[in-house]
Amino acid sequence: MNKWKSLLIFMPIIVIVSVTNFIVNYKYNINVKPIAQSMINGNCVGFPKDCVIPERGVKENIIELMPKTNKSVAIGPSLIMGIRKNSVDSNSFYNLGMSSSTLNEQLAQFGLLEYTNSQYENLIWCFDYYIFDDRFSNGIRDNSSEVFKEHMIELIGDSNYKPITQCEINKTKLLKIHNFIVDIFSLKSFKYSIKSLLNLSINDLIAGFEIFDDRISTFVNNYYKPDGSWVYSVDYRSKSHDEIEKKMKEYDLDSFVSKNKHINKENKDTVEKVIKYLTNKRTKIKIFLCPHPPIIWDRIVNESGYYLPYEIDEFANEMSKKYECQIIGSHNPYNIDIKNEDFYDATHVRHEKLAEYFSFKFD
Amino acid sequence: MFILTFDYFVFLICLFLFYFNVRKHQKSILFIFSILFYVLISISEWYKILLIVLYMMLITYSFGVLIGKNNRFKSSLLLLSIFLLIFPLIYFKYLNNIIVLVNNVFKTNFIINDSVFQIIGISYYALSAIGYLIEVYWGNICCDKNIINVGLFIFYFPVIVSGPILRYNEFSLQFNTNKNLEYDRFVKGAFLMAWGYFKKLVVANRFSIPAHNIYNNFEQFSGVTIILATLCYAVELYADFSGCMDIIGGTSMILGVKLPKNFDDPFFSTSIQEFWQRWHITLGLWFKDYVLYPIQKTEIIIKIGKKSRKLFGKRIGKRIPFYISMIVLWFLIGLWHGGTDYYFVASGLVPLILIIITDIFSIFYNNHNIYENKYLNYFTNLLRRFRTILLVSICWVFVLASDVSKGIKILYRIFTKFIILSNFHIDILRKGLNNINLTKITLVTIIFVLLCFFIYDVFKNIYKIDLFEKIFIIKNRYKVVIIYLLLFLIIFLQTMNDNQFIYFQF
Repeated sequence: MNKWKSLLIFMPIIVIVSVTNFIVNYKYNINVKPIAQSMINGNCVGFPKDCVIPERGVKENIIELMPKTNKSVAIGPSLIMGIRKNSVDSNSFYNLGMSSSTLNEQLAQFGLLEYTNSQYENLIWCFDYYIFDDRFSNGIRDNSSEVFKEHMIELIGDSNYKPITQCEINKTKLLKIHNFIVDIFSLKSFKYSIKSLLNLSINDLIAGFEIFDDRISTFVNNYYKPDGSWVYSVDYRSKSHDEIEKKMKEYDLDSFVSKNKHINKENKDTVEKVIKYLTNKRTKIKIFLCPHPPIIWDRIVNESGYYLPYEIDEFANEMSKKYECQIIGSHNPYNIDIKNEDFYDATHVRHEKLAEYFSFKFD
Repeated sequence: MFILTFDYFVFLICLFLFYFNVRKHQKSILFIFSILFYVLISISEWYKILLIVLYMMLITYSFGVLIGKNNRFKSSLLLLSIFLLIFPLIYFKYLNNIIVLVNNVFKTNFIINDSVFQIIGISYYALSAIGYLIEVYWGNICCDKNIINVGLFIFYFPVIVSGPILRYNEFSLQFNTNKNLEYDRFVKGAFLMAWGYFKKLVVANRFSIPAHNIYNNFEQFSGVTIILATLCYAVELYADFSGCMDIIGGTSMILGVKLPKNFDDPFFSTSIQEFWQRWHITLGLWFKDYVLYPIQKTEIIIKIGKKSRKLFGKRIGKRIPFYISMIVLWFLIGLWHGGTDYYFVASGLVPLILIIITDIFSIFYNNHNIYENKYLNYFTNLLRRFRTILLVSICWVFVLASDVSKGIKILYRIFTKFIILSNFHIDILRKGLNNINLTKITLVTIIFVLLCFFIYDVFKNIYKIDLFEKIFIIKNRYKVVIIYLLLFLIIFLQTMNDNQFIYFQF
């Protein structure tokens, strides 16, 4: 028995890994519902600096808690997370954008909207590489939402679909618990937790999320607005033009825009089927094409092999003609005369500029 | 990949709780957990997995009993059982690849079936089952009248997805006594598992970065760089595969089951033949015992041997039947690796050509130590080993290229653009390193691993000391310290590229 006691030496590492992961990365995972509820109740929800926010869980809960009838929703990656209810000119608007949201994740969101019977008249859908480049599109970070993705695929497909059963919903809940436990003990997460730990203060570590009124504009860190849109921290918003341009020049373009890659045909078909399905339900769709900064676009044009930006624009035009969807924006910044200083970084348009350059209002 | 996940440890804890506490039914518990493991790794198609399990078990068990009892129709029963066991292997694993290969080579237009369900691990356990039946047929073992024993042998969970390919007598004899949970075995097993995880998550994944990035843009790189990338892939492949073997070997050790060795320091081989005897040993032995030797004993091969000796003399004549058997052998090995064109070339055609050429040339040179000075012998062997690795790397060019024509283009580039002088500029080197995502930490890890390998190599070949064996027999408290150190290295140096073992695809 004494020999076996010596193996207790591994207990500290198990405790350190799980506690560090929880505090740094996952403490908000158990609060996604209260976070979403606060937003639905009309409040902003702010987070400490550099903490990991469970975006997918928050947006999933927003879909479940939001009113069943809404005027507009926006779906896509972080490129659309600055679209606010003011720019859509509707109080009944929810921004369901999530960072690096892939086609599968967006299908899961559509599926969940269908499952919860959430009606919306208008949709702003961002077309980008995460939908059409199969390097990204097939990913799904939260596998518990697979059932909703499959549900949407069945709905838009030709065969008869089976409704989601209670057993599948229970399985989804169990999967969430399973994923949470796995993430807490994950060595891969621990590696990133350690890196984040070095940048966080004690206050940041022990602080929870903060709920405040939308009219208060003094919160300095990242926060969600009641409509689900995102506000970057003051530090991020106030970077100098020189710093931003330097980052644009050093930006690893290939990590975002695949070279020598063409638009994935299956994904095109899936997207078209979704548009057709929603159009048949009389949903008005605006396709948003987020521009690149001129510095980045010049590199795309000057270096050969970047086909995706043109092909996505072309496909968007095709859908627009076929299903009478409006297109907002273009990957080519010169088409809309947007400048480098209108961006936060190499990809994201400044949120105040989104409403200036693009019209998200529906007639 | 299940064994790289937290779920695998939960699975093991549950298994150990039952296995070591209900000792009377250890075999049955291990069998049930093995089936559970197999279902968990293909959970969405669990009913198809259970059908396959039932099918393979029933065929192997019933034909084993029939062949064991029946002397008159033994051969026909054996042939029928092999056909029934191979059929799902060909249908689920190889058929589509073979159709694509035939369409490419003969320009036909046969249709592939996209909805064929991929069965994990069937390439391994089908061979184990066939081996069992052949041994019963030869009378080397008695047929087992307990279907659970047969089921456990075929579906023993640590070996299901990547081997090693088991032999029935070696495996079943280990269950004659009940196993206790022994501290010594537990620590050794945990140590081996930690070592395996380190090899996979740190060594294999780090070496894969330059290998795959250079091959994805090979037109930009010189021949020397491509050769270095191929050698990085060699290390990746070895660390990946042997890492997996260590993890499952460690798991088995804790359970009290000894698995056969699948690697024996293959990079120490001084000839091509030796390399393939040290790499994926159980597969090589299986094909040698159940394919090569039976072919060599057939009448037609014996007749060819006699005729060729008459025509070409004894020295050359005896090689011709050997080469013919090798053609069949390597064709089947190429097929086993998936039936795709590049795997046929990489795992069948190229090794065959290399073995035949080196066999022919072996008439002219001596591969043994010829110097009294051990350092001179070590240096000579080092050159021979380097030569062997370079030759074997030709196979891996095709695997890494995943295409025969791309593989040929890469080989052409290696020979025609061996050195590009203009690349020897610090800015271009820096840009090159950035382009292939070779961060400082990856470079340091690669250099550190190569240094450790060199030290291990020197100790083993000059001083005849196996450092790993030495570490393996140190006191358990020091082993625990090493496990801790490995865990820290895994945490800080791991990179989870594509979280899959390479040999998992077979």
